[in-house]
Amino acid sequence: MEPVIEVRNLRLRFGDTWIHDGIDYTVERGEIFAIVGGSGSGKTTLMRQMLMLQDPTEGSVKVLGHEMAGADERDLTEIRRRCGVLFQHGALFSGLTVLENVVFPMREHTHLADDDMVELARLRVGMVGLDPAAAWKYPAQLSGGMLKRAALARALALDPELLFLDEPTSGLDPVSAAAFDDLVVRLRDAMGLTIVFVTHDLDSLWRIADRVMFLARAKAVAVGPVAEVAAADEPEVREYFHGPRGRMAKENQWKQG
Amino acid sequence: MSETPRQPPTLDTADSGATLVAAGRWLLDALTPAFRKTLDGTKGGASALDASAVEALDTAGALALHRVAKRNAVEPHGLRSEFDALYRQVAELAEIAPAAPPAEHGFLHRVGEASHAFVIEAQLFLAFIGELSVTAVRAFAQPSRLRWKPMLHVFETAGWGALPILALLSFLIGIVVAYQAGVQLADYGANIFIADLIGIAVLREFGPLLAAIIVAGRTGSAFTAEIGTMKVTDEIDALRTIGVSPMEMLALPRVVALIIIMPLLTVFADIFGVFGGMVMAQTMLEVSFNDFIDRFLAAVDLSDYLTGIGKAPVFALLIASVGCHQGFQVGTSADSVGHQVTRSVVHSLFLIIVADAIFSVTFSMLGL
Repeated sequence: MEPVIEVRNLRLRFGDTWIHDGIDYTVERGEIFAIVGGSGSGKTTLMRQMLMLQDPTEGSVKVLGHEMAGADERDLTEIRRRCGVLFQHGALFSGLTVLENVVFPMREHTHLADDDMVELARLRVGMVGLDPAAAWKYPAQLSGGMLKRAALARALALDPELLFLDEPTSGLDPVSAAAFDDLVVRLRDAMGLTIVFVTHDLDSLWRIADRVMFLARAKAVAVGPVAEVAAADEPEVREYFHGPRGRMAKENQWKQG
Repeated sequence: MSETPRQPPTLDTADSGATLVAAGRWLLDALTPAFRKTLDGTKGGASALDASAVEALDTAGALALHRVAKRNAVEPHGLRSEFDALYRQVAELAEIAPAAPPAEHGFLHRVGEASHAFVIEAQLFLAFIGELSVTAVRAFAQPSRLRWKPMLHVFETAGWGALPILALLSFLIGIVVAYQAGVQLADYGANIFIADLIGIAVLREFGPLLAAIIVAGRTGSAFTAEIGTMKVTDEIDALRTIGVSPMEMLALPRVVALIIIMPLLTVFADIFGVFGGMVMAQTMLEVSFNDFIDRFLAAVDLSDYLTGIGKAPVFALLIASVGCHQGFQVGTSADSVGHQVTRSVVHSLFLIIVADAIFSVTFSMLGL
């Protein structure tokens, strides 16, 4: 398999604290890769480094075969075009309707005719499971679950190869969260996406992640399939997966078979 | 994938037009104007669509392929299995009728809506003033309810912070007025009357008006933005649930503090405005500082000074209540903050000028 993201010896310092102290991992094409860890363990910061929103202090980050450190503006734009991002709170542009939000990246990066862009945007709105009428709404008029779906539609606007999700199911009720998990898997299968997601949701971890990386003490203390990581002999991992909530999520997973 | 040479999408015919052959990478480019011409150029009537040579397919490509298939009323065959799910999903979604956009309303409808919005806005402002008054009466009956800390903050930011810009602008306005008047006065040899003119114009009109305009731009807008941002982040609701009235906590201290600080700012503007006039009188009209001050003391009554200062609290009340009211009107989205800030400044400037006109008429009727 071909690596989509390769991170080697990544180190990041804020002031006197090392947020990341030597992290190595690889994300393969087509997999759903989860990043977990306690609050403040640097999950979102790690994602920001893969998105080139934050420069690492040391180490190498390769996304889609390009070294990020020292990449020029044109390469960055090209790579960003091939990545979609769903931010934790959606980050939809509040002055634009859902449809205009989805059209926006296409208008910036392609030379499609207007009606084609609109039709493609409508397709995305349908693909993420939103009602066609939602296309005309403004972000402020959407519920939390719809907002996440609309933001996902924008993330998919340019048919990315690589999709980043920052806590995609936070703030959703269990039913919507499960539906969102299913949607993510369906889209991965249909569009051949590689997905990297940061989460606190143990249910979606068990249900959709192919591999998990556990961050603690500024390092990746365990990387592998969920069951393997959950069995790792690290105090933070044990607390995380074998606390009351962790056990419940695992049992749910078994019930679903 | 990115290393493979980019094979553009193609659509050819075979079997003398009976079969369409799609090949290459049907990606976002498949919908570029150039390739669309090829797509639209194919006449309907083919009996098969061979898609086995399609090497890559994304949503845009699937949509293009679906359009070709639909025009010829055929199903593509031979599509690679990994593209099948995407193609079927796109084909299915493309058939769903788009929702009609919300209806556009006619001119009359929009006029009616705007008038209605205006009435509602006036009503809301009136309600705000009412609630503010009730809160104020309650707070003054029980002065421990007055929040001093936010008031001190307003003194510092709205008062102390405005001094440099206010001094500079008043000084410049003093110069401008003295120059315009001086040209006329010099023609009549009435140079010394510059002190009457500057004294009365600055103390009665320009001082209070300039102070109000600067405060409306600097502080009224800040009030709206501060309260509006708290509204967006639910902090206003949080205050309510804790049992603290947002009116008492946020609006009243700002209004009271601005009413206290505004007359002081007006005095400051008066001083620099007159000083600007004096400088211009000396350089252009050869009226020395001493002569100017002598004449100034004789020509300007205490009532001129007090009518100017007297307007200041009214302007302050208008600016602060419009600023706070617009802050509370902010909706749930980030861009409504900017929208309301604009309204806040426009409304306060409007009300200041209207109030100033009312003052002028009233004073002239009272002979002040």
